[in-house]
Amino acid sequence: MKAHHRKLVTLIAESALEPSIVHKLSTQPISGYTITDARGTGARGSRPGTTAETGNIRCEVVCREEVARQIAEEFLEEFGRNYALVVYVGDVTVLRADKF
Amino acid sequence: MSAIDPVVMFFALGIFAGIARADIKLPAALYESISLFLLLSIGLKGGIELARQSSSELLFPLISVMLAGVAQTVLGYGLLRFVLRVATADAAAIAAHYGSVSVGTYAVVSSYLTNRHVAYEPHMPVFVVALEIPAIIVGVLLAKGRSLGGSNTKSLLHELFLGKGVVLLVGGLLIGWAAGPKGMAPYLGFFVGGFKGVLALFLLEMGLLCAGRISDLRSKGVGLLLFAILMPLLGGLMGATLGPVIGLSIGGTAVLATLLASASYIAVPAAMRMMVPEANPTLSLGAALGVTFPFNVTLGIPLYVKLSTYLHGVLS
Repeated sequence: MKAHHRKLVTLIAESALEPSIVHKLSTQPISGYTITDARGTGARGSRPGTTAETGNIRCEVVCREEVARQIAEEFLEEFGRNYALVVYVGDVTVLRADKF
Repeated sequence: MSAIDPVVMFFALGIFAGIARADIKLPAALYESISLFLLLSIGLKGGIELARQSSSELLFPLISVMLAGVAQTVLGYGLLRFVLRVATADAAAIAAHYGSVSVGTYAVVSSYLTNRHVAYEPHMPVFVVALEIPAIIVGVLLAKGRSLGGSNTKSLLHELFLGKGVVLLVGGLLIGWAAGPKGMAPYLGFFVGGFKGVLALFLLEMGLLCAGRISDLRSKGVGLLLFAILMPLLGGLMGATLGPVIGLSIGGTAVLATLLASASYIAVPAAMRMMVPEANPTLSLGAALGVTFPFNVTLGIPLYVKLSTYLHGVLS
């Protein structure tokens, strides 16, 4: 089976951003994304996730490199200053090239 | 009966467990379910009572109460911005929390009055809904001036009318009102009978949350701490004065005083996060949840009830 290289963009953000993130992702040329609840500690203090207001989300998108760069830049530009947001991009291997 | 309400003891237990880092954590889904239950239960009870009596003239009291919410937000903003020199966005966001209401505090005062057999008007939940809305609008206007764009207005409207609190309270009111006492009878065991137990769990969780917030405020100076105690006292005084003027009973006046004294920690934080993202949520939540909520639940409510009884005698 042939393997294909893609990028995995991970956004870790405060839960309040979920509607905005979902809305913005719908404008990107991607086939899908996965969101999970998360908790942790960072530059903006502890986010224990005991209520919807104090939690984080972790949003993952697998896509081509140019799209990954665009998502990372646009999200940091729009939300990076005022919201708790961490963005990182890593390499992944997928088996079905047409899917991503 | 003990002088301290059991719900307050549950709150104290939560604070103790939080500070001592005891191994207690209510899952977020349970907290969400508990708030959903409380909001629906309060709405249903109000709706059933409204169906029982012919609906009295509500427009004048409703508008007066909403104006009080606006006045409180502007007053809070003035104190924060010009006395405490807090930045514009932060001052507007914190003021909006204080101009709005806390449903949890409403639940505590209603349980306090019921335990003491003091009756209050059935339409108080309508005031809860009415007070959620103006403070958010005024807060956003104070923060942004007149620069509210088109897409902003759309999300503001969404936050205002489709927030959890408004939808569940109004939905509960309508269901209770439409079904009436007879239709709702099979549900009362769950929604009304279960209210106190759920409220106790809610206050346990609030204690845990509050313990986590107290340390947030420690670094922000005494100014905000004093504001978080002064503001509910001013709100309580405003409510206790307004109650007799708009024809509320002693119980209703006490509930209104408590509503105006309380600060939102659900609807407004979510709305401010979206509409005024440059405001620091730690400040407003620290003040509302870390200081004002515990103050109201322990010392405030008995004080507002006494004040309302006194002013009711003088003013009506």
